[in-house]
Amino acid sequence: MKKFDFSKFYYGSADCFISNINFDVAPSVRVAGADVTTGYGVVYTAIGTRFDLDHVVNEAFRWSDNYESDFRAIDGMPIAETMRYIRMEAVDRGGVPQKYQDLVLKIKDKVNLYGEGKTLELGEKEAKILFLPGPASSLDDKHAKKFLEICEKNSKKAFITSKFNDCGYMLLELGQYDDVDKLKSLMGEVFERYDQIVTDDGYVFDALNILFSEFREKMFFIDEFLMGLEHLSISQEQCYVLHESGVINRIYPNKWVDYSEFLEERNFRFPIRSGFDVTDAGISGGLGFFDIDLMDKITKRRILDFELKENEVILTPCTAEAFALRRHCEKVVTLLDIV
Amino acid sequence: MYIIIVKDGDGMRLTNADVLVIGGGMAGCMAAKSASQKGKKVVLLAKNGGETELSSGAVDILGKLRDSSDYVYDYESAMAKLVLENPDHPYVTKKDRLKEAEECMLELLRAGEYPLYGDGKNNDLVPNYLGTFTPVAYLPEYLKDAKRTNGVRNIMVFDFKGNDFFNAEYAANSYAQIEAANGYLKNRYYSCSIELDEFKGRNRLSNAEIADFLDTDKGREQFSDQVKHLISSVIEIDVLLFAPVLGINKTNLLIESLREQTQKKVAEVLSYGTGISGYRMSRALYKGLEKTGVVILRGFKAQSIAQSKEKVLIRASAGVRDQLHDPNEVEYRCKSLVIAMGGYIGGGMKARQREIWVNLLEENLGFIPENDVNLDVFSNKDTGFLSYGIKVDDNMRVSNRSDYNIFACGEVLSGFNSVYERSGCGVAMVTGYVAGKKAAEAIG
Repeated sequence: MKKFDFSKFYYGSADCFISNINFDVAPSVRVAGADVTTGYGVVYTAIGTRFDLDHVVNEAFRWSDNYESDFRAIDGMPIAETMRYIRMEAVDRGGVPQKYQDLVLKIKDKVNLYGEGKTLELGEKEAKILFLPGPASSLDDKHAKKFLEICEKNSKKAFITSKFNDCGYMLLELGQYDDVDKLKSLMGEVFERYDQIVTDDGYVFDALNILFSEFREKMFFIDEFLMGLEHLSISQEQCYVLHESGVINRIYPNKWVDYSEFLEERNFRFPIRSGFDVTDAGISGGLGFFDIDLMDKITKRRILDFELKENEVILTPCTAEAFALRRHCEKVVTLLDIV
Repeated sequence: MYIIIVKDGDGMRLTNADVLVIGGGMAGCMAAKSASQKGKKVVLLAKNGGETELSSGAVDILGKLRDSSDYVYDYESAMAKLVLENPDHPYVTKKDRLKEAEECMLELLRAGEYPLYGDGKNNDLVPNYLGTFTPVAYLPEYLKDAKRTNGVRNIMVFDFKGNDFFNAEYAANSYAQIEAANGYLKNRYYSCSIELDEFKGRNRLSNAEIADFLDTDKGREQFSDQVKHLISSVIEIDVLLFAPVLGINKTNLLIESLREQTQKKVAEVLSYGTGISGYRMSRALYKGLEKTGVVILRGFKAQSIAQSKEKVLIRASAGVRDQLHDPNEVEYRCKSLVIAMGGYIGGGMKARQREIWVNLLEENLGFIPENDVNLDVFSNKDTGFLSYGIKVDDNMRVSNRSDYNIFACGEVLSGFNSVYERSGCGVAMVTGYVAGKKAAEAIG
């Protein structure tokens, strides 16, 4: 993949001194508080002066990518990129704070951060559809089996594998581009064979789009794929409050799908902060594991947004988001749970 | 609401609109609304809420005249003087449409559940977070108790302990001093700090953190209890005036509930920039527009335009872009285009050293001469270069593209200084309204 261009990044980022506008609204600050670090704004000061970058490393690992601050980045330099750069520098220079080192090693060893589970391989390798369950949904084979079942009902064949784990998402978030390149060549050989590549994890979908822009037309997030099927029945027994994917809304808004095509209008509603304004559950594809307290605070606050009534459950297409939400709420289902 | 985008063979997405508006602030939303009133299919590209998202959430139409230190009270009368002295000002040709535009804006924001308060003729003076007063033509209903009145009132100003954005003690003293210096009938100002249980022991609170907490049941309860306790032991207070952080999405609920519980007048002070107020107004505009059937593409940024007599082609990128994320390009065809993407702050114009460009049109507006820069920030003189911008004809059509259906409105226009005149929202409102109408009429 193409290498990080520091000069392009530097001038944009160093100009972003209006940091309160950008940071104040980000979940990591809005929920956890402005006084839990020396202040996220100093990240820009450190970059601008190329001095004391080591002192802002904690901020970069205590970050949850979000639309709120990225769309306020006046010079078009998303804060997600700034934080990614600092993490990259910390890993490359051996400056990762001790409390985060184990997790960095796990990411480099491609360990599933969500838990232990066997590598899944189901279906027929010669099929035209490849399903890559996210690391959270590959902890058991429930979603994989459901996916095969749905394909079968639509006279389609699929192959399922979890051997690529998060498809390099967290390596990208740490700026470990050489490691990503190795993974990419392994994945590329496999992906070429399929007409459709589907995932139920928004962050995996992001990694796939970053690494394989040439395959963009055959990449599908789970909701878009399901919507394209002829035979699909969805349980309408419960009422759903929709927790959309932040990745789709923030980065791939033209991949957004209209859930009223799936669900009867009386059976679902959006919470405050939805669509463009959706707030993620703090897991950020695994970044939340660096600071579980922070992730939990963001998740708990997100759950309040839903204002769940007795007969309602939270519905999310993203299994990583579901994983974080389930830490604090039992009433969470994914799309594959209800089809 | 999004539209279904048709895919072409190269993976590029193409779609058509009668009128396409670029810019998600007040000007863009007004243009979209007025074009849709003409029955046109309208698409709005909104990278974000523009300057409106960073605004006070109130509407200024004309707050000050050039070379005068006094606020404008009767903005209708003041406008006659303004246009006489400034022949290039957008109000010169658009002031007669102001009432129509105001009605349209009021309807749009009512639909977005953000009703406004104002008499349509005079400014109200409203205390702001800097400790001064701001003249505004329309206030959100939830702020109406903040306006300065002629009766003498006891006003308690509240800040939140740990939130250094607003200092109630300083502000209360400052309001009193300004009233005395200007010979106003003096209110009596008092101040105190709120310390919510949730934030006990904390030493730095951001606006968004407090506002976010106050959107929750627990937050509202703690807040109401604390306020009731604080005012129970002091002299009879008429107005409770708070730091501008009373919720993000549920401000009305919080204020109404406190009014009911305390039987007092309740409001926030005006804020800017890092406040929450502009966000509330921006989302209300979107909500109102969606009810009229306008398609809003949020997070989409226009990159380039190309025009012919029949149509305009706009290339835009969708979503956050950085070095990992290649431009996810989208192409739109429209019959009429409205450019409403703001001035220097909003991103429509950029100063490249002393040279000013309108990026999307690739138009060079020339150099900033030294005498256009006022170095004395405390003087009453205008800073001329802030009046730079695109020139349009009486129909809001971009002068340099007069053969094409390209219109412009809002802060990207030349001839006025929104900062100095406190006219940004009014100019955005009326020029957006007219540009949208003209863009729709141009295509029959």
